[in-house]
Amino acid sequence: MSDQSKVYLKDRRTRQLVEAILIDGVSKDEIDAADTDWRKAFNEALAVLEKAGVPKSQWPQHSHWDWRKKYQVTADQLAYRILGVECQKQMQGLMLIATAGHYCRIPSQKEKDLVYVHFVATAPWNSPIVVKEPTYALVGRILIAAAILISQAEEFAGRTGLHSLPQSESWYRDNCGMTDLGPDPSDRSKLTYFEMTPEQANKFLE
Amino acid sequence: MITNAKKTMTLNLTEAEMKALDDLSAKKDLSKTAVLRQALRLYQMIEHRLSLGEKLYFEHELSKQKAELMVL
Amino acid sequence: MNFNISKEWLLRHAEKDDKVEISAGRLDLEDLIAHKRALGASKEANEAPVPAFGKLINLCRRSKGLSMEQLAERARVDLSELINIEHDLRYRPEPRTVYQLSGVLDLPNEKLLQLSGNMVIRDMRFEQSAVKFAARSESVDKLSREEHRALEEFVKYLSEQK
Repeated sequence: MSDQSKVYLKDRRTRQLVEAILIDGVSKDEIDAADTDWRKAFNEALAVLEKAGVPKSQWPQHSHWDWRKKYQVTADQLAYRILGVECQKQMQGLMLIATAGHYCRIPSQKEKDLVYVHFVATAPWNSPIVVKEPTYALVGRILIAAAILISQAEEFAGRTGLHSLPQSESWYRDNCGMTDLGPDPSDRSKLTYFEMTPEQANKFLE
Repeated sequence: MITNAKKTMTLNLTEAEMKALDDLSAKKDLSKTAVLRQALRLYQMIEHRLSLGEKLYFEHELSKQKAELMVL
Repeated sequence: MNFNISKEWLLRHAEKDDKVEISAGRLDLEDLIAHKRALGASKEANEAPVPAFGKLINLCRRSKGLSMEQLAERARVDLSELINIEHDLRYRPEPRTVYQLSGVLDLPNEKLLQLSGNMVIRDMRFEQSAVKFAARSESVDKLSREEHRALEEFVKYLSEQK
């Protein structure tokens, strides 16, 4: 079961907003197509990065995420949802969230439920660390807004949490206004954990 | 065909169960419906992991000691 | 669920989000291994493989009943580097990493440096023993009797070498 909402992406080539679709409940076929398209684009881009001598520490760490597997593992469970943004018949971004099993860590919100963003990524051709000139902007903003709106609909008042990859930390901290709770000691890669209070969520949506 | 349309159900709960539901609702700042919805989601997640052969443990924050759901 | 995300709101934030990276998500072990394999496959393609080193680390770790995370923590090395060591035959670990691992796994450091490709192996017999050892072991969770024997013999050999 899937819902579609009209949204807009900024096409960086024309600097114009173009129509896109926000899908709540991405289907298996859509995931398969996205995974294929993204993998192909990643492989091409990694070859370019390598040729240009870009240090590996700056290579995209999410290029190996297997969205087919993520779908397979979560498809028949109520707590998980996959959302996507589609434009020009291609998936421009994907997000897997959990609406149960995760709780706030910010002291003032301790133990309250939140929407946990397990994974969020934009298509390789939209990522500034994969390509020199990304194609579409606003994919991430739409998906995070969707996570917050779901949180509000679930009575979690917009509380949202996620582990940011290093290259995205400044966006979550400064653009989204999330609270930086520092490297998570329980995470293998010690990724920084960010969380949004209801007030921060409302501010983001303003 | 699965839709988003919601169905209504009547629950028969004991006084103790109603109290537990009320307490959780207050503590979590969720309606009673939302509490039960979360319970269902968690239950399903647990069942899914158990069906994969995994076990459910809690970990003590400081000692990192793992114990099954309840240590008596 | 249907969402009402207005064009005006998006337009207002379009400049701020012009060239930003937004990825978030924890890597599970399989993701990490796949990622490291993909990275390792490109750069070190021209360097000779060092199969004995990774195998030795892998078997020693398992013989001590340690997970990769536990060994990485005890040796105070990066987990992703340890994954590279065990899974990528061409991966060259940092000398510091080799030193840390030799301490925790109780293996002679200089020999380990040679096995890891950080130092040249000048002893032909040593090189041949290393290749033979790598060929004998297989990847299963518990060490087989054959793996145990292979490991014991090779570790004894390493300790005896001057």
